[in-house]
Amino acid sequence: MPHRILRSSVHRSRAMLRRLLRTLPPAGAAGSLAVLLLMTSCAAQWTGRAWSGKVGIAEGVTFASDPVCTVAWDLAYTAPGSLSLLQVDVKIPAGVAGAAHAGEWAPATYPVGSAGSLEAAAAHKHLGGSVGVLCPNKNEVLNQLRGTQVRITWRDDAGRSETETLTIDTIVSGTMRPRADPAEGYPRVEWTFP
Amino acid sequence: MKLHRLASLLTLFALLFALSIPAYADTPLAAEARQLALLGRDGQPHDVSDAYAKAYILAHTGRQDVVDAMRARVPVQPITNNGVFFVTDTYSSEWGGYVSQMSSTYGHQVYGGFVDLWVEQTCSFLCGFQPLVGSWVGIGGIGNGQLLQAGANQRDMHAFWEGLPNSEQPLYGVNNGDHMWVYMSWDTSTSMWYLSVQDLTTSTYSTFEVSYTANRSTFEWITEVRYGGVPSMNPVPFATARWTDETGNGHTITDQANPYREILRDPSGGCIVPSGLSGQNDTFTNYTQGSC
Repeated sequence: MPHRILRSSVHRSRAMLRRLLRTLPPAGAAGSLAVLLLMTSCAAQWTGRAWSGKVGIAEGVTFASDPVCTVAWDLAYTAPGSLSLLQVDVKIPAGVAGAAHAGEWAPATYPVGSAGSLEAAAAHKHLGGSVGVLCPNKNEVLNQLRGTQVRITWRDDAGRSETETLTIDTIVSGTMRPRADPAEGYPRVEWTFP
Repeated sequence: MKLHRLASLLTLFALLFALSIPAYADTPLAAEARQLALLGRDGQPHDVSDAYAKAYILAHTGRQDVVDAMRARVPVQPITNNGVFFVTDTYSSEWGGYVSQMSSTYGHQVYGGFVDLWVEQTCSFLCGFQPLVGSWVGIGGIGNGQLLQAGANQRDMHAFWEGLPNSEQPLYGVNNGDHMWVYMSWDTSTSMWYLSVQDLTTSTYSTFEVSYTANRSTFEWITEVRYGGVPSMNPVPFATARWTDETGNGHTITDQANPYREILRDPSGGCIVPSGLSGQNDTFTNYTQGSC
């Protein structure tokens, strides 16, 4: 499948940063570390054959007294033409504590008949969504969530059934919240980077 | 002779055809289920008949007392946006109570749940300016925007249901101290959610079905505070809390799931702290505290 994840660019960026750290004076190291964090945030980008946008695994999000570890995607349909019969399935890696169907494909859930629905996403060519688990042992679960796959299936203008599968393994320094504002009319994810 | 054989074969086919039709296929309830499934495509809630509701509740919960208290019906209204949201996103610290999270150990999914709860009024004057408080049960919503919930709005004093991202949908008025029973269940006959929100004290009830894709990984029993600090109010009791799995079996909060005790911590210092579980791990009380 002709898709590419920008994992390699992250490695390149990190290698570049390592070279910088060797040459910069120690006083600059703290600043470089901050840049690294920022780059981690910016690297949560997916550029695929038909879908592009931000993806990531969130840390530091809390729900009441427990943190929630979340995998989220916020993508725009970049292929020409329209799409219909949109469907999204998610496969969380096996062994993730608190995930009911880890290691299996399961449909991602979307509301019916509202701005948050898959029909609205197809009409606006904008697809946001997320899955999450309560995770008191946050750092462990965040790492376990790396490699989560999101499979998007749709029908294009010509009636062909198309599929694109994303692999998400970037832990983002920030938070993400699913949104479905009736004024906007489609599901999206709101990202907040530190 | 040939005619005789042909007649026997025809009789046999007729018999097989008759046997292949499910026994319930022509019952009034089955016809209602088919009709509901068609109506539900519009995404709006649709009332079910009393006969359907009573049969459903007895078959799935055995609560004869609930059925006996179904006297004053209030029809469900089409979804409108009244600007009052119990949750607009689900990453908040606005919930106190318990959560049952499904786990790969058992591989269950949430197909419903219910609770008895008691209404504690939080406001009596200029309530639109006061914090919004509600106690409810919900399916999904943790780490996703797919939350279906129903319960009591304790500020505006009415029963409600809500399916994100829509606002709360008021059902009927309730009184301080009323005993309520709230039930949500996936109806396999219609592929819709069955909801029954009942005030057992006044025998008022709404019962309907709606198409909605709730996230099946959690079930919650919650008291929520929004738009302000935690107000002074009496403790909110929750009893006989259950979630049901894909086979229809009922489970208590801790049974075959990961249970979480969630404490609401308001930045101004107020808290809603659930008690420990009692009974069969299905009973608790949400207390307000000045700090926690």
